[in-house]
Amino acid sequence: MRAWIRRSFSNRIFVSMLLVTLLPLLLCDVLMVQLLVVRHEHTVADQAQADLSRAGQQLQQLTDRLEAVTGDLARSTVVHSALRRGGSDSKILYQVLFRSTRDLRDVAEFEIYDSRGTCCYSTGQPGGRLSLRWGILREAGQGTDLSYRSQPDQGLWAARSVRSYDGGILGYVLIRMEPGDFSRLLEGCYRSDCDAALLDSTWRPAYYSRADRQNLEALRRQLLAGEPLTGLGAECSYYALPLAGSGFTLILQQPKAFSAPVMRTIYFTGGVMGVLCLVLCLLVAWLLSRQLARPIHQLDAAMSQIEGGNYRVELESDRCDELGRLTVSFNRMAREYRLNLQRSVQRQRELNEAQMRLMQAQLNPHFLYNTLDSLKWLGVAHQVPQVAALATDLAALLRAAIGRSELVTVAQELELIERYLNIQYIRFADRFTCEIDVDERFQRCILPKLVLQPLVENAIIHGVRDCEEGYIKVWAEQQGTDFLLWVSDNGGGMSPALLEKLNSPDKRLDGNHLGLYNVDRILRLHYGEGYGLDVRSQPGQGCRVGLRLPMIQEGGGKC
Amino acid sequence: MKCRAAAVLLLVCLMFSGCAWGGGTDLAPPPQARLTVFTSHEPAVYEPIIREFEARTGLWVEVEQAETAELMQRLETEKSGCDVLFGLCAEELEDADPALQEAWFPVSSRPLVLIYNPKLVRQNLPQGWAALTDDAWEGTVAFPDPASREGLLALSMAAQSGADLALLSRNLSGSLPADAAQVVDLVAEGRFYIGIALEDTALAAIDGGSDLSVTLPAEGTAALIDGALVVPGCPHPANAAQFAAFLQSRDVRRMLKTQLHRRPVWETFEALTVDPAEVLAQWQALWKEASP
Repeated sequence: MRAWIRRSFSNRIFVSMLLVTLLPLLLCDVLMVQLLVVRHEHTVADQAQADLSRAGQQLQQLTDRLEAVTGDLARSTVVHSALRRGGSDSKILYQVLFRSTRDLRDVAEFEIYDSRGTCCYSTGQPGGRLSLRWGILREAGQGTDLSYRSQPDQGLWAARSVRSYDGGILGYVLIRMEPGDFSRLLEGCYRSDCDAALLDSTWRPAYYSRADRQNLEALRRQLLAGEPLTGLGAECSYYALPLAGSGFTLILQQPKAFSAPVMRTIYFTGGVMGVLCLVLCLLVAWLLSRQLARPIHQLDAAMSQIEGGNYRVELESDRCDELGRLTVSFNRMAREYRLNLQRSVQRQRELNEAQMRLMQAQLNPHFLYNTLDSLKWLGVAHQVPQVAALATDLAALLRAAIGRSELVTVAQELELIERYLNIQYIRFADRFTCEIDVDERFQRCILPKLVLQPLVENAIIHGVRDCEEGYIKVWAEQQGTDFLLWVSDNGGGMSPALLEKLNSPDKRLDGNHLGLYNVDRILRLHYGEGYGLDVRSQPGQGCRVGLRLPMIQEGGGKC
Repeated sequence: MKCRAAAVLLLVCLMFSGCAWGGGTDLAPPPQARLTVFTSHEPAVYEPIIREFEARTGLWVEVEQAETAELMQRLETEKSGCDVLFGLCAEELEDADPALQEAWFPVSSRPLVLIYNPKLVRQNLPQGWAALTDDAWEGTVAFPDPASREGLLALSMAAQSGADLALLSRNLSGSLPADAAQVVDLVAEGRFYIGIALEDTALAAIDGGSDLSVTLPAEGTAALIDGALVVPGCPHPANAAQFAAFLQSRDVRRMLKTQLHRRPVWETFEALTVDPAEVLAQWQALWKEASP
């Protein structure tokens, strides 16, 4: 995944956009659902606690009143005397019984039992006989407080012993409460869709507003197992309130605001929305990343083409932003690179052509050398020393021309000039003189061979040939890191048109006059466009032609 | 990397921050106030005892009700959590751990009795096991299937008393009720005149309004003895001992007699002199011949 992201700029943009759009969306989706559910559950729980508290108060008030009533009956002298006397026909006891229980008879039945466990008096249907060694009467006989017992088929019994002054048991006051009594008592304390249960101290049901007891059994099991109280099916929330004094626990069962099917629907809907959002975000991120990265890809492709050798690639862009400026710069760079390459190729081609021309200008040197050598010995043999000198000088020139080295020192070049002048002196019968005045510090500088000879030849042929006292000077001067080798004459100078032509970049003249052009091209090819010929002349005032060269001595150092 | 992990953890916490939590375990009793009872009794038998014990002691009793064989299998697994086994006979421990056999004690007995419909039987009242083979009751005797515990016990007792099993099979007219409870229903309905049933089942039916008469066989009778045991090494030995003592108390025995018609185990019983397996084999051969 990391490699995939790093491989492409558009992939980075895609992943970033996906995260930026998808994460907040999912976060909001989940948080909103959770917050909604939690908030609603808290609201409902608060309501349930209030209902539970209200119901608990009702029950607490009831137990307080039962305590009071049974206490009064247990202390009543009428009850004591009736139980001592026996029988079940005491009118006064009935009056006391009904008067004492007037406010409670709609939620409970009251009975008086004798010391043998037989029901003597009742506000309702009289009960039979109860065991004194089992159940509520046994527990009531253990003390003097009101005892409570839940009944197997729901219902609550409470009993208090009636004791004589010496502590002996005279009888019992028994209270019976059926499930219907609890329903009337708790009516209005909680919502109609809720249910209530009253459990004894070991969570056995005394009352449950539903007929099915399995839910309460499940609650008891969960309590003993330490599990959350969810009942059967986990469709309801349960709230418990222990009641002080009686040891009972009141349970309020409230349907969950978001039941399991509803939550499943919410989660399913949320999941579907999440998937849709994911698909949408993927699509949008993909399209946007591709669109944003297209100019980069185009630049990248163009660079690859240039690396592959296609220098004519050019991108089109109408953007005014950074990518537009980048495209323009790229096009300019490609164009400059292409032109530079063309110039380099052209330069190399011209150098090769110049070398070719120099080589073409070289005749079969060995035949000429041998012939000149023969001429020299003929001159010596026939005692014509000028012929020998002429042949010797010409042989030296030819030797230099056919030599392999392209570069010579200034000293070596000047030596060749002197040999050339020796030949020309014979030809032109001392009609000119040539002074060579080159300072010692220039002697070891290097330059291409035979570049000075054409200048001297031009000075002789076009400068001083028609003069009686022609004067040619060869000297050098330094200019910064360069030096100029000048050849000047006192001839008739050259026409402005010719002068302009020779000082232009294209020094080719009509016809076969290639000497100055070749010299200039050779220097430019070797050293660059800042070097070459410098021609100065005015008509009638002679001509001065210079070679601008860098001051590089033999071995590569500076002169 | 740590920042990324922390960010992911924060994200997960935020996402699940709304999950509800259900509590209520503050109301749970402490471990020392608990007791676990495995029982094969019906709720009508064990529930009054459990409730009374809880009310008297304040202990929380957790009851697992199932057949004895299943309970024994669960007991063999580790961490069953059982403190007391309640409602099993001594015979059901024949293949069990000797420690369990040693720990067993009787709680109540359920004797076999003769029952008859007083509307249909007014003279020659059945007095003992021999009456079951009397010609007068041919085709009118209801006898529990020997495949049931009480059926096999009744058959063995009849054989021990000298009753002719062939004549008995003739008097059954090819019909064997599944158990003693069905015998009571059939005799009360008048489909059979006399029968053999468990005393508590018959008396409970009489309490429920059935027209039945009950008599103990003159030759003597057998009884199903159910008991209990404290599981050695149980999680709550003190509470288990307290419950065992309660089971053997006068109050429980009196309650069993008065409310459930189960007799207390006051004396030791004699073992059968016949081999129930041999009697059963003999009966199965006879029954195969007699059945259509």
